[in-house]
Amino acid sequence: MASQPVKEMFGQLIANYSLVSGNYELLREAEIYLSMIPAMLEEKGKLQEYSTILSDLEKRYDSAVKTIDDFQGGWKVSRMQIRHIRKEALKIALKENLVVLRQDMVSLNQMNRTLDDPEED
Amino acid sequence: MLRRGNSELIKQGARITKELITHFPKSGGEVAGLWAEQGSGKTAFLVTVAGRTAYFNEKNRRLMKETVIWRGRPKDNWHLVEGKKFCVHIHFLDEIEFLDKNGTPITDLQIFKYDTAEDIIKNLKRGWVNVYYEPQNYLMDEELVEEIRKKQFIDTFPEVADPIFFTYELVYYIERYKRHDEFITFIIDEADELFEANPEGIKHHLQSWFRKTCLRDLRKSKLSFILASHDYREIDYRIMFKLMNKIYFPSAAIPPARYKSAIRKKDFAMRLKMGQYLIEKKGNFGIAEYDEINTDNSVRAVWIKQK
Repeated sequence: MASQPVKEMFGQLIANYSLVSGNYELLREAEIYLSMIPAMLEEKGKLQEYSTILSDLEKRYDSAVKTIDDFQGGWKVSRMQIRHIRKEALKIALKENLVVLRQDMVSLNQMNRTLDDPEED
Repeated sequence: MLRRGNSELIKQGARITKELITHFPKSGGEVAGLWAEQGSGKTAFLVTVAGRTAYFNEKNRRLMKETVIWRGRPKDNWHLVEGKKFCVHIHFLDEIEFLDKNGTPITDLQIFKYDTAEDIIKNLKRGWVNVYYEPQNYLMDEELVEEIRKKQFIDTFPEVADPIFFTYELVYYIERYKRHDEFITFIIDEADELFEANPEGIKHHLQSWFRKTCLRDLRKSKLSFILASHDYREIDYRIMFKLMNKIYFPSAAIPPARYKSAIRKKDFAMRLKMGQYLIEKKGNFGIAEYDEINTDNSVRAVWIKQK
């Protein structure tokens, strides 16, 4: 089972790519999904269950790599494939609880709420 | 290379904040500088911290309410502190009336009169927020004047000193005479009045003496200091080097590395939202937040008569 820090790190890796727009950066984001999710699923013993979807995503990734430099319009198809990878991969990650996408900020008001009074010693 | 992730910032922010407000006999007190532009939530933060500071009592192994000493200002918000009672210390020659935001006098205040800093120490309420107002006509303690003159090699000393020097006297005597196991947090808003950058004349000597005599051993004496001002450049650089914690509010300027700041991106505080702050200590930094308080509801101190 993936530990909490690993899930947080995965969420952080994804978050780092949430604002990027370059073709190669999007490819790298897809690589993160396709390397981390199968590993985490294997750890959980659920890799077999998702093998068809994952091999489809791998194929889409390969075709995206082939066409990403095609200035005739192939890169647009490539980006569509990557978007599909992102959608499906996130669906699996959230369903199988593999990722922590956001951690709530800690509030000062939650700290030291119940304190004893020294005057009553 | 990976950027430092938000989850790491949140963890560090919570850890450093917890250390700032929770004091253990082993680690002692904390000295913090806080910088915020006008209206970016400085007072609300100070009010929250005043209510949450705690120390670990080794006898019963529990966290207890820590005594807070708050430097009162003409328009202040100490009455908004939650979780702790508060009392006011004023000089016996000063008559001060405290008015709420509608101008109605506040009558249910516990007020103590003092003549010297020792009187404040005697009347100090443990676990409360003790607000003190500096005397309007202030004659510095003779023993202290002698000590400063000797240490700073100065011949003359003004007979009537600036009232703000009383805070130096108070810290000096508290450090000397308080119970050894007692933890106290000083909260000083608009700290540039006390520790101004490029001070002149006697103030230069006083700040230098304060740094050498009091500030150096604050942590070991179990005293904590939270100094709030608008910009780090308003604070004496000699004091800056003594700060263990640095807290930045939205759009506050982050000092360069020579002031022991580990934050390389100097526009980091610009990205903070209202209610969030950036806190750093010993090369680590993080983000945390606090609840908003309506600080429009202030207490006004009016000096009505001087005998």
